[in-house]
Amino acid sequence: MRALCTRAAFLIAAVWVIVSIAFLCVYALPGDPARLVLGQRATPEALAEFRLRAGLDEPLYRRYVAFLRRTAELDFGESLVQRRPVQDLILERAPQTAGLIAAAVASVLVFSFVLPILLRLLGTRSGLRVFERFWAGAAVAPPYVLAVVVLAIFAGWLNWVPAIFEPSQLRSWALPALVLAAYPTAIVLRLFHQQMEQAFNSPYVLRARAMGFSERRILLSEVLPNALTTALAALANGLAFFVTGTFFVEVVFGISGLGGLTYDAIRNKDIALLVGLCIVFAVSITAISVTLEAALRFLNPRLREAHA
Amino acid sequence: MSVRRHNLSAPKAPLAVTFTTVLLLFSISCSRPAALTQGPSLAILYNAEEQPTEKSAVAQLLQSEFRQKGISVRLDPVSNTLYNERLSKGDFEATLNLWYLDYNDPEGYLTDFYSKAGYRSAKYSSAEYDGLYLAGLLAPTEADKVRYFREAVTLLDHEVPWIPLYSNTEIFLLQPRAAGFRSNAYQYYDYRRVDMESIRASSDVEVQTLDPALAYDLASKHIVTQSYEGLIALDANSKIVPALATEWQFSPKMDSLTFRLRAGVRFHTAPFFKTAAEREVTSIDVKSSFERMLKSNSPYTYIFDHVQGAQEFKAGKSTDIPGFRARDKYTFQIVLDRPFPTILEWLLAPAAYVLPKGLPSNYDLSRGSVGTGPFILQSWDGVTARFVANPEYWAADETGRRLPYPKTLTLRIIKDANTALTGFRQGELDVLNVPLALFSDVFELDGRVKPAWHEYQLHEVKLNNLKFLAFNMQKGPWGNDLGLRRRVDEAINRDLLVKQLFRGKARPAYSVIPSGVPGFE
Amino acid sequence: MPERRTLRLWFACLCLGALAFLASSAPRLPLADPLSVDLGQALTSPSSNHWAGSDELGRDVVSRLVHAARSTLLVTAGATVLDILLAVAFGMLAAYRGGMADRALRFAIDLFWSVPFVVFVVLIVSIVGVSAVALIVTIGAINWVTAARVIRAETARLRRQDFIRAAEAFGFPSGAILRQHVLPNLRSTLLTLTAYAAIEVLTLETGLAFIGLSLPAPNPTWGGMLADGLNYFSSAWWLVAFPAGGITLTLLCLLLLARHFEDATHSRRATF
Repeated sequence: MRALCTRAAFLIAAVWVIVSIAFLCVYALPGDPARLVLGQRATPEALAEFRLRAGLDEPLYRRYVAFLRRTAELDFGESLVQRRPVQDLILERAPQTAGLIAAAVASVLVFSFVLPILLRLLGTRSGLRVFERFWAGAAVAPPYVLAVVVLAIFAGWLNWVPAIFEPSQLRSWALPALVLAAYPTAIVLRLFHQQMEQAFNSPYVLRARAMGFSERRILLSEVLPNALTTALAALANGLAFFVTGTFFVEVVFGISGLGGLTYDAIRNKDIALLVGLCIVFAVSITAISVTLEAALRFLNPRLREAHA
Repeated sequence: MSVRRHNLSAPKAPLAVTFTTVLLLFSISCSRPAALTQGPSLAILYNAEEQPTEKSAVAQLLQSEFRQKGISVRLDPVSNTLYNERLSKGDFEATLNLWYLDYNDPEGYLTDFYSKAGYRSAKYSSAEYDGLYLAGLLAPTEADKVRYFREAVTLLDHEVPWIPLYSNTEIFLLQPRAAGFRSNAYQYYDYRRVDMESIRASSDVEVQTLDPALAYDLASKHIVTQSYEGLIALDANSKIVPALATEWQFSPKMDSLTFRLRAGVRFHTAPFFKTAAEREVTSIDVKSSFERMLKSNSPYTYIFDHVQGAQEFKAGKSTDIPGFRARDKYTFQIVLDRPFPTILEWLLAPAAYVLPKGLPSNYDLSRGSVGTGPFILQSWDGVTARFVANPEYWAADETGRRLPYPKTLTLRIIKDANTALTGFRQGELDVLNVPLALFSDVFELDGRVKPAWHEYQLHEVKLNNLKFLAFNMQKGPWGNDLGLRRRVDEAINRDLLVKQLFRGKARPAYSVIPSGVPGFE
Repeated sequence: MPERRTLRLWFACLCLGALAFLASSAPRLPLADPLSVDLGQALTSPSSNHWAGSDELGRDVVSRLVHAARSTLLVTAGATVLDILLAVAFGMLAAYRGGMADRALRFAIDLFWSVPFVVFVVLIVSIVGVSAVALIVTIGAINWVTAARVIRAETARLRRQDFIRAAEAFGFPSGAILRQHVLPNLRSTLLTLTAYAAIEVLTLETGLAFIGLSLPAPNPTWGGMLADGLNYFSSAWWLVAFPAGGITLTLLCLLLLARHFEDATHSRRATF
């Protein structure tokens, strides 16, 4: 319980720090959004009026205080350039990013846990090693290179998937999810494999073997609980990676998600939108990883010391 | 366990080699700047986020050409916002820019040089020019206007504040059944006559707004013009044709313009309409749309500058514009404070499109359209706009068949040219706007279509836009030395640019008004 | 026949060495001018004239790749060094001083893992403008947190060992203990961390260039060449294949190095 309170306090502090940094950064960004909004023929008076209305000419501390007050009231304001509530913009785009991350996490789970366990049960050790090599190889290329390559092969050459991302078609999701999953899969799979081998060579497994337990039973009851929770903890820690990855994957596949929105917000100096996005990222990532951590600690008491 | 354990169980030699080389590299790179261009030079600023592939190719081509002629050039690509700021402040020596218009009026190309104009990419000011510009703008007849503007152009040709480079040709590849697609020199895209159940097209830039009053960028215009209409429109040959107005007439002194509205046109359905009668377009809707636009942040408020009472309204001194008169249900009159024939062309801008008078001020137009156009916007997610046909649309084709033909329309933002091309090949797109990056794929060196594309329709439109290099006339040495600017002008081989880079799909430009504009052919 | 791991090590070192040599001596090598435009030669496929083909303006791709390696490697090397220096400083400080310093570091680590920090890299680079120095400082100053976590843990582990306890009991100053006893024992961990940091930095640097935040045109960068080439992909595969291959090969070499050190130290990096 106390741990949860500490985490909540941390969350609030973290959001405050992040939001403040984001605010100061955007404040320092060069460029004039007024002209972007108003177009080439706008008169100086119109530009001045726009800046006044958007508060662009106010001194820094007053903007910061007003901004903190609004943020505390969960009023994210309106996007400067798109002139729509930030909340609407984020809610409109979030499902695609969330869907992409969920699909990627699901494929990480399948490729680094489900398939290795099956391979191990079948007793093909070399198969597992080849499988691990494959993902390690795929993960060498950064996500944007990988995305470009798979898109060229599967859409341009083999014609298996549509080049234009269409969220309502299930097969459109396969490539982006796999590309996003490649790096985490390589890492988690390797870790899981190592942990499994370590456990198999541990004294208590030897004892279990000596007592005549079947390999399957040893795997399921002695080896997996430890190996699985350690690897899952690593996965939980790396959630931010997925969000960073979507940043690039969305650009290449043309997915209308939060990554593209963030990039536009930075380019357009759209302070309200960027801060809203940072809060969403920070709160959702921290909340998910805290939940996962708590769940894992509950499952495996050994982690309590390991992560101290 | 041994205390000091830093032996690596592998040969150390290759490691040593690597790290020495990295250090070597580091030291060498530090002593030599990474930038490859040196010396005093002409800095060319450009917006790297607007048509980036084409701009970067042209900029690097110019740089290389100038270098051969002994003019050293430094390229300065910047983001959209930064570009706008630096241009406003005059913080540049020269800039690669483009100019496009929403209506077929030569004034649009000349406003940039007027010393009191808003943008002024060349920071040019000349009392003589201002006189000619104003005389042309306010000329009572079309012939006078053209005469004054020609004189103004001659003046500019002499002073070289801009170096005109070329005007684009817009290329479309169409699936065979999408042959009914039309577009014109001002980039209005018309999908009404495409004889397909559903049609899918793309655009390669971001959409800024779905509010016609605020739309000035091409992507916003593309989407907005499917759902909204003005009193008049430009057809495929860039001629003014009736839209919501069936006929219009200037007063003999050219100081008022009267429109007769089409009866029985209805806005798309929206929750704020209380009765069906409210949906019919009347002269009150026209008046309130124009006033709404003037109250907004629209870049187009200038189009009503010469309407009686508009200045007071804009300044907040009055709540009504006497110059906009709803004379009866279907008669709308614009009263001007001086003879001003240009107002008719200016009414073509999407900012002058008609929206219902009862539109709540906080209504989110991205949730659905409330215009009278052929397609009703159903959804918008920042990348894809989905439309359905407007069953109540007023127009029919020559044979009496109701427009629009397609039942649905999907417009998608696809920034990557290659994705769009692959999608088109896969049949996921029906209309492909071919950007410069794909020219090598579609055309032979001499501009013929490659055989692989013969099964598709090719649609070519010469645009009345202008790509140019503008000097900052208030900054030396380039701005105050005519000889230097002429030298730059002469260093450009426009024919080579058009033939080799654009494979003939562009027109060299030698004047600030593109050759397709009426009166300047 | 040497061991396979030794072969892998030699492969990685030779590739990186060759790349560093090419990059550092690019201006003196008999390469085509990476900037000179020749539209007549635009988009020609790989041939004896242009080994890796030419781009949309007729420039030689090999020459551009080699020149691009200069800025890319410079930024990677610089940011990696800064990254590791900061990580060592903060990691050891936190482990040795404990208390506030330790809590601050853990806060920074948690903070780092709760936002996609690439947002802040993009923001800062947009503010200060793109230059080699800006990229080095920004990436280095943000990316150190991952390595600092490992160094903190390792230092804390070493501190519990007898020889350090003994040194402390003799009253040696902390600075001397850190320098003479802790740092040498961290050496192999540091090598692993350096290789991993280089991977992260290179991925990030080319990624930024890919989304348009790189040294301005006409200076070539790997990420920028990849992004530009993508537009021409359907007619000129070589504009994508060679930059992508260059990036991937360099990352592979770094990864082989990292794995080698990792195996040598029996330490592993359980995180991303």
